[in-house]
Formats: sequence, C-alpha cells, structure tokens
Amino acid sequence: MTQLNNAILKKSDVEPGPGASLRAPLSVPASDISEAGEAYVLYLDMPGARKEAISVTVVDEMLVVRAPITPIHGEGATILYREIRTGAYERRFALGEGIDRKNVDARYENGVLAVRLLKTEALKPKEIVIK
Amino acid sequence: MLARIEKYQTVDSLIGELLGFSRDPDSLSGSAVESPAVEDATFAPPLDVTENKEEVVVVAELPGVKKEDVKISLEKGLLTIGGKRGEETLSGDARGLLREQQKGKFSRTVRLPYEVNADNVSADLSDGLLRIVLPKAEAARAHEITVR
Repeated sequence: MTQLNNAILKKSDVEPGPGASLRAPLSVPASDISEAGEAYVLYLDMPGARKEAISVTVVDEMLVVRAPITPIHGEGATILYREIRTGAYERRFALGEGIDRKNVDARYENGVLAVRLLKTEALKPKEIVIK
Repeated sequence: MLARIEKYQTVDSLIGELLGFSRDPDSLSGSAVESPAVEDATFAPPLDVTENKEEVVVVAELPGVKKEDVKISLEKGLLTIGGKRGEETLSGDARGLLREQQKGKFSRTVRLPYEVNADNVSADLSDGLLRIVLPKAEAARAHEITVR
C-alpha cells in the first residue's frame, strides 16, 4: 500500500474480487488523483469500457472500480499485432476517514472515468475570519 | 515533462519491431520506419493491428484524447497516428496527488502489411479507442481459388 495523503486517501494494489474470472485477466487502470478544495477527483484510464458496464462501489472502506473491456475485434479478424489489454479493469482505493461515502459522483467520457469524492466537514478548508 | 519515453524492451515490442511496428520514437530512423512524425513525442499509445479479407484495422488506445487533437497520416505504406493529450481541467488550486496517466504529445507509426486504398480510409474515436479501417487494395485481397 502506498500512502497518498496522511491516511485520507490511500492507494492499494489490486486485490481481485470474488467476481473476477480467471479467464479474464485484470488490468489496473492508470490513474491521476487531484485534490481541489472540498473534493478529490480520481481519473482512471479505461478505454474500451462501456459506460453502462462500469461499476463504482464503496465496500468495506474501499472504493472499487470495475468494468469489463469490450472485445474490440470482429469475428473474422486475424490479429497481426497485439498490445491492447483484454479482460477487465479493476482498481481499489482505500478511503480514509475524511471521505464522505454517500457523496460519490462518477462520469465516463472519452475513455476516462472521473470519480469525485467529497471531503467530510472536518476536512473541508475553512476560512478564518480575522476579528 | 519527460524528455523521452523510456525505451521499451519487452519481447512484445521486439516481435513488433520485426514486423515493422515501432513504438519507440528514437528508433524511427531505423529500417522499420522512415521518418518521425512527431519529433518530441512523450508517449506511444498501445495498439492492435488486425486484418480480415477486405481490410486492415488498426485500433489504438487514446483515453482522454479529443477528436480534434488526433492526426492520422498515410504515406508510402506508413500509417502514423499523432496528437496530444491535455490535462483535465480543474480549478486553479487543484493539487496533484497521483500522476500515472500519460499526457502530452504522442506518436505511433505502423508499416502496413498490405497495400491499401488510401482514398477510403475511415477513422472513429469513441470511448478512448481510435479505430482506423483501411480497405486493402484490390491486388492485396485474398482470392479464393476453386478446386475443380
């Protein structure tokens, strides 16, 4: 486990869940994480996923992102050269105390999944009024 | 920004280089590919090449890349995919905690295994996948011979 930010948000290695089929190798999507004001935003590269097949869940203090990778080649195709991953995407992020689990927003665009996590009140930046 | 993407030393890419698919911008002066499309490319997107009876199909992973930022060229049997991937737009005070995604300019060149009909090439970018369909030239199509 690589600790990202004082136990608020941690990155974990992939732990294949019970749903992971042995026939479908798991790919770890490359991710960026940004912190901005009241939120963290995770961006995951998931080209070839279908929006309706992506699952984003919070289970046992973990944010779990999963999606099957849609086969990209037609029936009659002969593969001459292959680098693109097949199977499924999966990545887990450990959530620290400061994340509001009930306010998770996700959108998928151009092959990138953006997950927005809000900080709990205790972690939000507060402006101190000078008296 | 990285000056150069690290050299790929996998068996996969060696096989690829033998077939004429180069993913290392530095190797473009070699025998597989004749000229670099983007001099200062920072990454090389993964791609697949397939064929069927009528077409050669090249699919490249381009997550986070907008249609208007992709350039495709075909010259002397070399297909080049180039372009750039920008940063996600966040408010100015955003702080990066993790940076794994490849950003900046990219380039990839493929020596096509068949002569293609350059006037009928089509390309589509959706869900982060660029799919280029290149119809084989008539001479390159497989003709079935009926055994009498």
